[in-house]
Amino acid sequence: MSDLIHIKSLSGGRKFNFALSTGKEVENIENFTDGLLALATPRFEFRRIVVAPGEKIRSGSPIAVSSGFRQELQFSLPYDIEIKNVDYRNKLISFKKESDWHFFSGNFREKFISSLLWLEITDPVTGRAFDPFKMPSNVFISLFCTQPGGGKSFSGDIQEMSENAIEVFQELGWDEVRIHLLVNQSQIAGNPEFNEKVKVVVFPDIYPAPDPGILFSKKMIPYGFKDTAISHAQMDYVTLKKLHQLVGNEKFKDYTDVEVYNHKKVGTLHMPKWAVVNPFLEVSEKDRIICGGLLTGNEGCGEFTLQPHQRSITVIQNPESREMLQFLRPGFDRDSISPLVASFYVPKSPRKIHSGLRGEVRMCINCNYCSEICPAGLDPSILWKTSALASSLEEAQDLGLKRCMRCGLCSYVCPAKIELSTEIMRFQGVIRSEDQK
Amino acid sequence: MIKLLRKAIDGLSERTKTGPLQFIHPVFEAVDAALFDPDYAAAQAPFIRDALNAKRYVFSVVIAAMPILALSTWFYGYKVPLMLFLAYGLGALVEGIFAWSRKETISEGFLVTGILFVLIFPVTTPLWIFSIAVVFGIIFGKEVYGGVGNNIFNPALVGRLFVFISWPAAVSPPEYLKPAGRLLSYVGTGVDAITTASPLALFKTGNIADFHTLFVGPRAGCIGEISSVLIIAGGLYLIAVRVVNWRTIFALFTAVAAAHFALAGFAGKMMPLSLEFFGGGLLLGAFFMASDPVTGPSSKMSKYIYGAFIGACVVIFRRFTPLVESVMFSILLANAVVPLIDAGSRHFRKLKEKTYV
Repeated sequence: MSDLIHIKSLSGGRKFNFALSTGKEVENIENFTDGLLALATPRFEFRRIVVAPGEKIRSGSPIAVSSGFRQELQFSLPYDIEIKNVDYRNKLISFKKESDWHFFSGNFREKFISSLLWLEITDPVTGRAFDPFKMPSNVFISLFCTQPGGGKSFSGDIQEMSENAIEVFQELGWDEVRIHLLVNQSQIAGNPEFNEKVKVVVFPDIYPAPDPGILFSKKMIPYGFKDTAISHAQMDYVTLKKLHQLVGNEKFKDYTDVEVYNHKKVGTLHMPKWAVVNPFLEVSEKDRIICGGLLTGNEGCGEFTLQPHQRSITVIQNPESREMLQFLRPGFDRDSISPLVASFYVPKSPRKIHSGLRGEVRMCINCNYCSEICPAGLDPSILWKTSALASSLEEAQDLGLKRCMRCGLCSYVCPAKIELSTEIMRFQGVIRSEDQK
Repeated sequence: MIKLLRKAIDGLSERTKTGPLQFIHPVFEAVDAALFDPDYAAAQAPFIRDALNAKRYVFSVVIAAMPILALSTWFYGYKVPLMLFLAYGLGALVEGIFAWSRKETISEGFLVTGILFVLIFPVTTPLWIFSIAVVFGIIFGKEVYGGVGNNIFNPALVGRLFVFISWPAAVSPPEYLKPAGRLLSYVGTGVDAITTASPLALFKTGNIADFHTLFVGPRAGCIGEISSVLIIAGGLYLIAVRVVNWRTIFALFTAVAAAHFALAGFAGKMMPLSLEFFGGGLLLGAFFMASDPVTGPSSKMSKYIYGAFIGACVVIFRRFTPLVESVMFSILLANAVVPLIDAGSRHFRKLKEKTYV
């Protein structure tokens, strides 16, 4: 269809390649009333369309749900619609627009459209998608990255940054929101003075660690909230780059600075938004491109488009040679948190980074490494056993299946090489889709 | 050299995939898996994985037990490595047959089980009884549950229990062979060798072994009980590399001491505490069997309960039953109670959560 408006700016290139058709030429996307939504994407198969003809759907409510490579995706629209017809086979939904944009006001709307931030926000407490109608009571802004290949930490003026943050959330209409800055020891060295609206939380650098927001939750979540002020909090988690996008920083408008790791072009790559990454990096077919940190990132398949919120690329290889008697070797060049591997004692020895599992997949040996490292205080092996092996999701929910934060550390440490986090995410998705029914 | 081996395995494995020699294909697969690390790549995030794998994890127990076996070989002769060889051979055979029937690769669990079998038998046990214990233990202690990771009871103790009931004199004789430097001699089941009672049996007749023998050794008993110092050293190594959880051990020892002093109040004549710790198989059982993660509980609190349960059982059984040694029974009993302890602690944790949210 020639008159398709590809919401590329809305959806983020290849990753969310939704198409919207109005049946006629539309100059301004805000003016149309009848729409046709095509949900076919090259990488994300939308498994289920959750609406039926005749239904009235509020803005922000899911229209289609897919199980993505790493995360469950929900597709929703920022205005109320009435569903006219659904073509389940071709994944086409025709609808009538019934309200104006519901999300946010003023010029902020365009910025939200351009980064599609509202698809990505999840409430770290409940694990559910963030409700755009509710104002969060706490917002956490992370200024450093401990995840390997996750991008450089913020080195600018923290005070200025915090003022920017207050400005942004005032513009959003979130006046009463409490802002928490998550920083590490070296960033806070100068002891700057902060606005009283900003609360600063200092963290040690821990490797391997996921987002510091997850680290923070470890304090509160193991047995529920001990701090009554934060109980039943709506929380949001904003990274620095996202914040710059919110502020509308010129630097991030058309070009993006991307950190490149483990590649001959290691350093900062200044490249246009939505550009295909592969020619910039000169990667071969054996290489795998990981965007957004090695623990929680996405893998780019084929020609890979960079999205504005992605701030790092790591190029890793599949393991090529098979080492003999690997388990008897001391292991200086391997990364490990176990004292059984020599690199534990020599943290700065050079490491080989590849995507090998480094061991056979085995039955769980109950070693408890996963529950020791879990930032949410869960027991991933028990969750996996109750949900995947015993298939009793209710008991798994009682044990805190919904509180999993998808940091992936349990899969990282597992000596039996079980895909714990992927399995847990899968069952979280099952529960969420049951909840929505 | 490595490349040649790699090529040979690949070639043979490829050739036996189809055709008349298909039945030996799993053997090459097993050799391949034992010698080389796999080339699987992580399909999903996280894209990097920790270097620790099951083989390395399991092999640390073998490293911890090696000094004990070396010392035993010095004092009991070359029958000790022969038993180890037998245990590994039979273990691999049984494991291989089951892996073949389940169409899986051979897992590395028998590395530990094999060495534990050697540690918990006296050297005078006839090899055929030992072989029965190994085969029975691996089949009915591990494979019937679905292999490594699924077993409820410690396979080595299951095997020992079976032959203990069938041939008590061979497994738990009244008189053990007295350790002496006989590296190059073979110890049969002969009656002419110099024998001595184990410290616990000595106590029942009113004698107490001196502390040096108890603590440093060599002392009469099973192969693994030769020296308490080496067991403690091996156990501390396992705790240091985080293969064994200190909570179980700590609770176990505390419970032994507590039960000892609690019973001393009314139960009359008790053995001295040093004998309680170093006289029998308590150290070996605590560091190498009770701490086994697969058969143990999972949460922190249930580890304390589990350890304390074993410790209390050991003291009570020693005092009130005619058994000389009770560690095996205590651990097997505790293994059976583990699901209950785990469920209880999970329930307690849920209650705790409800008070906050």
